Amino acid sequence: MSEEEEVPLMKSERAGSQRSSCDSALQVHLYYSPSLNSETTFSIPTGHVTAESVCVLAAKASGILPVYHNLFALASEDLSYWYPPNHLFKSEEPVKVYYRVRFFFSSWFGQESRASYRFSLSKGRIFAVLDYAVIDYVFAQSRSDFVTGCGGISPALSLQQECLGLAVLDLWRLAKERNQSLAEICNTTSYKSCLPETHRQDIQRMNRLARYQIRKTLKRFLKKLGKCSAGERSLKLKYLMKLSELEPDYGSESFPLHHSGWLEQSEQQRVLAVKVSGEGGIQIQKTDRQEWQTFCDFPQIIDISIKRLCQEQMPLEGRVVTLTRQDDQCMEAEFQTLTDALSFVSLVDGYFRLTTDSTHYFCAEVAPPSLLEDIQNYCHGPITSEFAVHKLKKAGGKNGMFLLRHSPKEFDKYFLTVCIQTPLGMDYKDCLIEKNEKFSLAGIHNSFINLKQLIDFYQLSTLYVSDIPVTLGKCCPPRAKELTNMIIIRNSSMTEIPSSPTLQRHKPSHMQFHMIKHEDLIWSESLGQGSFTHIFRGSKIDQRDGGTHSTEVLLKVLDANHKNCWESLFEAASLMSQISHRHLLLVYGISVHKSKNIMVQEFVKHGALDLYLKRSMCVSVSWKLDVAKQLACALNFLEEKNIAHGNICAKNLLLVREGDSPFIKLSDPGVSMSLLGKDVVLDRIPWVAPEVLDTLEIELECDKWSFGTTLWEIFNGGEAPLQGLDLMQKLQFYENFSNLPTLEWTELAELISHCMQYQPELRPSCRSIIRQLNSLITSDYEILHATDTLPESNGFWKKLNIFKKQQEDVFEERYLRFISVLGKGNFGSVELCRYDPWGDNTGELVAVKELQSNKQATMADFQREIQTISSLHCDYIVKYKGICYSTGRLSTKLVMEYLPYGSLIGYMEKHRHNVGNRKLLLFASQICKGMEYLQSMRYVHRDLAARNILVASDNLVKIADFGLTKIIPVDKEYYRVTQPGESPVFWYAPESISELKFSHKSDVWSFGIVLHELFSYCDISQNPKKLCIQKIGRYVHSPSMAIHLLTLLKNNWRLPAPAQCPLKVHSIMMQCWEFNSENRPSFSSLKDLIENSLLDEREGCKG
Amino acid sequence: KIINVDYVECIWQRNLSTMNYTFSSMFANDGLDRGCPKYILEQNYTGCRIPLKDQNLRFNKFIVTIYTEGKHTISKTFDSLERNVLLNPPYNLSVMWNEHSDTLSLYWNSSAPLRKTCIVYMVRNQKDPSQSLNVTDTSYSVSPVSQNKLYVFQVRSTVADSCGSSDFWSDWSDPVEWSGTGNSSRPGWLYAILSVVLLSMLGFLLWYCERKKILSLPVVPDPSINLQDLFHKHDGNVESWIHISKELKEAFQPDYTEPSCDVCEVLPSCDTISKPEACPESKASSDPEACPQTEICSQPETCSQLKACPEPEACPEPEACPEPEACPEPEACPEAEICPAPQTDSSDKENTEEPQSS
Repeated sequence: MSEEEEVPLMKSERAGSQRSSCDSALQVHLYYSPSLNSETTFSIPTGHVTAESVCVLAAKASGILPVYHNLFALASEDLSYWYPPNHLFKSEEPVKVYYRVRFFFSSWFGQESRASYRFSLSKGRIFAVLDYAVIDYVFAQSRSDFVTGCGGISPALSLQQECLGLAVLDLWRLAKERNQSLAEICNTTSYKSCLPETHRQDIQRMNRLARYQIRKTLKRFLKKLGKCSAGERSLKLKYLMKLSELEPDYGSESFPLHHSGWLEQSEQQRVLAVKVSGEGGIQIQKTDRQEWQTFCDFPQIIDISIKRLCQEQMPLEGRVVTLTRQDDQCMEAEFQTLTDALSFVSLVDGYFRLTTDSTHYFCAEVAPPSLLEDIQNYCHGPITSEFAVHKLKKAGGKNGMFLLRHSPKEFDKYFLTVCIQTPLGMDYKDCLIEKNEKFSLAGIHNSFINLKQLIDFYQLSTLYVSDIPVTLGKCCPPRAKELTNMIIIRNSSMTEIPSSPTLQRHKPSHMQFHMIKHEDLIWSESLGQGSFTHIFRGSKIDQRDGGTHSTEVLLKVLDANHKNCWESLFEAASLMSQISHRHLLLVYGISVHKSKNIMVQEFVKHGALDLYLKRSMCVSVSWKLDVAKQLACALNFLEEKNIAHGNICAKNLLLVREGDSPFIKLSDPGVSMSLLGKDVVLDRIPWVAPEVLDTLEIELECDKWSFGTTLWEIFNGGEAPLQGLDLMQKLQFYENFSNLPTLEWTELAELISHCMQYQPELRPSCRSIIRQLNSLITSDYEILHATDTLPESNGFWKKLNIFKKQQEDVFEERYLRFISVLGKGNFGSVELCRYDPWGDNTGELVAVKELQSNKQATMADFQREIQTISSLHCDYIVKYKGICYSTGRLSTKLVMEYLPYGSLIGYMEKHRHNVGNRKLLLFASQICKGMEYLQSMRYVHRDLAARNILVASDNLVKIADFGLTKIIPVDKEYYRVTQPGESPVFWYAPESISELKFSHKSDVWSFGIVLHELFSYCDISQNPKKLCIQKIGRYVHSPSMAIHLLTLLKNNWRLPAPAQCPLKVHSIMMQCWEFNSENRPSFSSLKDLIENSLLDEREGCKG
Repeated sequence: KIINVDYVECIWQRNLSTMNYTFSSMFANDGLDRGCPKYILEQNYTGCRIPLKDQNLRFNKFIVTIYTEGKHTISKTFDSLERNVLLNPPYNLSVMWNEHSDTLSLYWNSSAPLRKTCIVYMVRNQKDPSQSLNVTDTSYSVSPVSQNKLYVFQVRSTVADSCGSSDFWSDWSDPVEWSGTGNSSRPGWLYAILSVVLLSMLGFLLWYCERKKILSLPVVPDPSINLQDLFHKHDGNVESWIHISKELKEAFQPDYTEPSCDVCEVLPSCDTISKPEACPESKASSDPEACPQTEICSQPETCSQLKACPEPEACPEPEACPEPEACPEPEACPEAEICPAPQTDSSDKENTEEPQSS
C-alpha cells in the first residue's frame, strides 16, 4: 500500500554542469545525446560565437546531419524567445540556451495520406522531413516539455486519460531501453513521473482506493502489453503521434503583439496576435472573439523589414515588423523589444527557407552567416548528389561545368560536382573538399583561405579527376526557389507541387481582353512615337445609367508599316489584361478600326520616369529608392506568375504621382522581341540582356538585367547609358563583357553589378533585390550629391499614415472610378472600378456590385447580402472589402476584391485545353471547403453555380454572389422561403422546388450540378438548364417547368454524365443527387471523397 | 423492622461515643424483658437484632429501653410492628420461551415464611418501565413478545393487604435477560448454511458486476483506455498500430554517404620539379614533332640531352622514308628501358603516335 518511490528518469550531469558553470560563459542544453542516451549539457568557454556556430556544435554532439540542421534553433532558458542564427554571444555574463527543434511540420509522419515530405526527383522515392536522429531528439524534447509543462504543452485536467496513455507508452519505452520487463518497470519507476506536474498533483489528491485502482489497471495493462513486440523507435513514433493529437498546436508559435499607440494612428483594426506554424503559415487575430485568419502562406511573402519605433522624436525600445504579401498587402506587428522582433522574423525567415527558397533571407538582421558565405561562394546547401547531377544535366552538361555544395552527411565538408568528358560520354564526378581552418581538395596538398580562391585557382589550372584531366569551367550557382531535398512540400500544397523556375515562360494560350468600339474613343493630341506604335492622348466614353462617363486613356496605334505585328500587340494586351497589380499599368482593351489596331491603356499624368528625372533636378535619394522598390515589387509579382516582361526601362516606367511619395506603373512590353528586328534589339543595349541577342527569347533573368540598367538610369538622373554609341559599339560593349560606369554609392553599385551579371544564373531574385533595397533605404549613408535633399522620413511616414487611415470598410463614392462592366448578377450588375482616393490612378482595383433598381424589397435583400459577406473570412470565398454609399445614402454598393480571371464559365471557355482532371478536382475540393465554411456559419448559399464561382488564379477559385444566401435558424435544420423570387430551379434540390426548403443538403445538390458544369467544361451545349429543357420538352410553359422537373427527378432521372468524366466523379454527383436529402453526403465527406479522387488522379499520373 | 418475619432489627444513631449502654426489648403480653442477644456495630449506627419467635408477635405492642451507665434511661414504645415488615427479594428468577403459544413465561421463588396468599410480587421490564405488573403467583406470562427486543426482568415482593400490609417492598431480584436470537430454538447449523449461501450470492453478484464494469468508479481514470485500439483494431500488432508506411520508415534512415573521386593536380609520375616543364608539355601536345622531346624531358636521367640542340636539326631526317631506320629515336628506346616507370608512359605515347603517323 505504500507509495512507490519516484525515480528520476533522465540522467543529468548536474555535477559536471555545476562545476563548469563557474568558469564558462555559454551553457548549451541538449535534450538527447546518442552517446549518453540522455540529456546533457556542454559548455563553450570564452570568445565571440554566433548562435549558428553553437547549433553546429550541438548538432555534431546530437548526431544531427547537415540536411536537418536548419530545423533547429537556440531558445532562451525560459523558452520565452529564440535567438536568430546571427546572434553573437559574448563572454561578459553566463548564458544558458536550449538547443531545440523550432521548425515543426505536423504532418511529418505521413498519416491519412496527407503528409509533408522533402522534395524528391523520383515520384516513388520518399525523402522524409526528419530522420531517426532528429526523431530521437524531437521525442526527448517533446517528452521533456510534456512532463515539465514547458514549450506550450499544458494539457487540461480533463485530458487525463490521454495523458495516462502517453505515460504508458513512456513506461513501455523505458522498459525497452533498460532491458526490463513491463512488470519490473513498475517497481522501479512511478507512472506519475511520466505525467505533467498538474496531473501528478491531481492524482495525488485522489483517495487511496482510486490510486490503487489506477495502479492495478496499469499493471494489468502493462502485462498485456508485454506480449506485444515493439521496437523502441516505434514507441517513440507512437508517442509523438499521440502527443500531436493531444496538443495540435505544439510547434506553432504565437506572438501577442504590443500596442504603444503608434499603430493606432494608422490602422482601424489592430492585429492582436500572430501565429506562425509550419502547416498553417502566418495567421493573425484581430479581435478576441475572432478566430485565426490566414494572412498568407510562406511562399507569398515578398518582404520583411524591421523599423525602430519613434514617438515624439524619442526612440523607444519597441520595433515594428512589416510583412509584405504578394498583393502588396502589409501586416505591421509591433514588438516590445528588439529581441522579440528578431525572434519572430527569424522564425518566418527560417520557414520561408524550408518551404520556398532555401537560399533566401529577408533581413540582414537575422541572416545566417553561413548562408551569406554560401551566397558569396555560389555554394549550395547540403543537397544530395542526385540533385547536383540533375541540375548540371539541365544546365547543358558541358565539360568542366561544376557545382559546389555542402556535404549532406558531414559538417565542414563540401562536394565539387564536375562534368567530365570521358570516352564513354559525359560523366559527373564528386570531389571532396575539406575544411580545417583552410579549404583543400582531398588528395591535394594545396590549401586556400576560402572556397572562392580554391575555385578560382582550379579554373586556371588542370585537375585530374579519376586520371582524366579537366579544367573547371562554368559555375552553376544556386537559383531562387530551386527545388531540392532542402525544400519541404507540405500537405496544404500537396495538390500542386511548386513549379520549377526553369520552366518555360508562361504564355497565355488564348487572347483575353476587352474589345472597345472605335466610336467610344475620342482622340486628342499626339504624345510621340513608341516602338512600332504611335501614341495619342484620348478619352473613353461609357454609357451607363443613362449618363455619360469619360475616362482619360492612352492610345497606342500600331504603325501601318508593321501591320504584321498585330498579333504581338494583341498578345501584350492580353498579357496585361490577365494580371492585376498596383504598379502595373491597366490595359482597358483593344480597338480595331479599319486597318488600325489600337491598344487602349490608362492615362498616366506625369508621363515617363526618365523625362521626369531630367526635368526635376532636385529629387531625393529616398524618392529614387522608393521608385526602385516599387519596380522590384512589380517584377516580383511577374516572377511569381512566371511571366517575363522583356522591356523594362525608365522610359516604360510611368509616374502616376509625384511629391514625397512617388507612385509608378510599369507599362506593357509592346511588340515582341522576335518581331522587332536585329537592329532594334541592338539599339536596346544595355537594357536588353546579353543572352537575348543570341536567342531573341526572353527569360525571367532578362528582366533582372534590365532592372539593373534601369536602376543605374534612375540614379544617374534619367540619363540613358551608352549615349552616343552606335549599334556596333553597343555590341562591342557586350562582347567585351564591359560594365556601366560605377556609381559612387558602393552598395548601390554592388546591387547593379549583381543584376548585370553576364551569366544569367548569377543574377539575384526579386526578393533579394527587394531586401537589398530595404537595406539601402534604412542605411545611414551620406548623401552623395549636393543638389539632393535629405530624406524626409517623417514626411514619408505621415503620408503612409494618412493613406492607411482611408483603408476602412466605408468607401467614398467620389473616389470610385468606373472602368468596365464585369457582369450581371441576380439583383444588379458588377463593375470593375478603381478606388482612387488620391485621384491619380494609384488606387486598387475592386469589384463593385450595385442594384439595378432601387426597389425597397431588393434593397433589404441587398443589405442582407452585405451583412452576409462581411462576416465571411475564408480563403475560398470572395473577400469583402467594404460598402459605398451614394450621396445622401440613396443607394448602397458592395465593394469586393477584383479577380481578373472572372467567373468559372469564362475561365473554362478560354483555358479549356490547359485544364485537366486534376485541376477540376482541385477546384471542386476548394468549392467544398468554402461550402463547409458556410455550413459552419449556418449559412445556406442557395445559388451555388459555376457562374457564381470566381477564378482567383490558375490554382484557386472562390465562391461569390451571396444575394440569395440565408441563415438557418438555430432550432431548425432548414430555411423555408416565404416569398420565392427569381429562382434558378435547375440547380435546385427536389425539396427546394416542392416545399421551398433550403438546407445544407440542398446546397449539396447544387454542388452536384456544379460538378457537372465543371467536368463538362462549362460547355453551353451541356448546360444543366439546356439539358433539363431538352428532357422536359420545349413545348412546356415556364410556370409549369418546375412541376415537370420535379416529376422527372422523382422518376429518378438525373443529368447525364459529361463526356470524359471519371466514374468516381460521376458517382459523387449521383450521391449529391439523392432524392432524399438525408442520404446526401455532407460537404466534409464530399471533400474527403474529392481529395481521394485527386490522390488517385495523381497516382495515375505517376503511373 | 422485622426482617423477613424472622427477627426484629432495631437501629439507633450513635451519639454517645464513650458511654456504655444496655439494650432491652419486650413485647406486650409476653412479659419477657430480655437483653440484646446480638448487637450490630457499624460506623454510623448501632443496632440490636432480636429473633422473632412467633410471627403473630408483630401485631403486639413493642417496647424498647436503653440503659446507660449514668442511670439514664431512654424508652420508646411502638404500637405495632405490623407495617414494618421487610421481605427478602425473590430468587431463582428464570425465563422460558413457549414457542407454541408464542409467549414468554417468568418463574421465581420466595423465602418468606408466610402463606402464598400473603405475598404480593411486582414484575418489571427494565427496558420498558411501563411494563410493570403486580401478581400474587410465583409465575408470569408476557404476551405479545417482540423477537427483536431485549427484555430485562426483575421481581420484588411485599406483604399482602389481607395479611397485614407493609410499608416496605423488598429489594429487586437479580435481573434476567432474554432476546429472541439468543434464545431461539432454531438450530445453529441452519444459520451457518444460510450465511454461507448469502455470502456466496453476494460474491457472485460482485463478480458479475465487476465483469460488467458496473462497479467501476467513473471518476478514476483508466490508463489503458487511450491505448485500447492497439488490441481492438490492430490485434496487438504494434507496427500496424503506428500506421507508418514502409517507404516512410526507410526514408527515416536515409543514406547520405557519397563517394568522392580521386583528385590530383598532375600525374603521379611527375615530380614538382618538372612542373615548369608542364607548360611545354601542354604546348608540345599539339605538336607531334615535339613528342620525342617530351619523352626525353620526362626522364630525369636524360636531362642532359635537353642541352643537345642537334636533335631538332635531325627533324628533316624522318621525312626521308628509308632513313628512319637510322634515326636516333631507336637509340632512345634502349635508354628508356633503364627507367621502368617512364617506360609505360613513353610506350603509351608511342602507341598514340603510330596512328597519328598512319
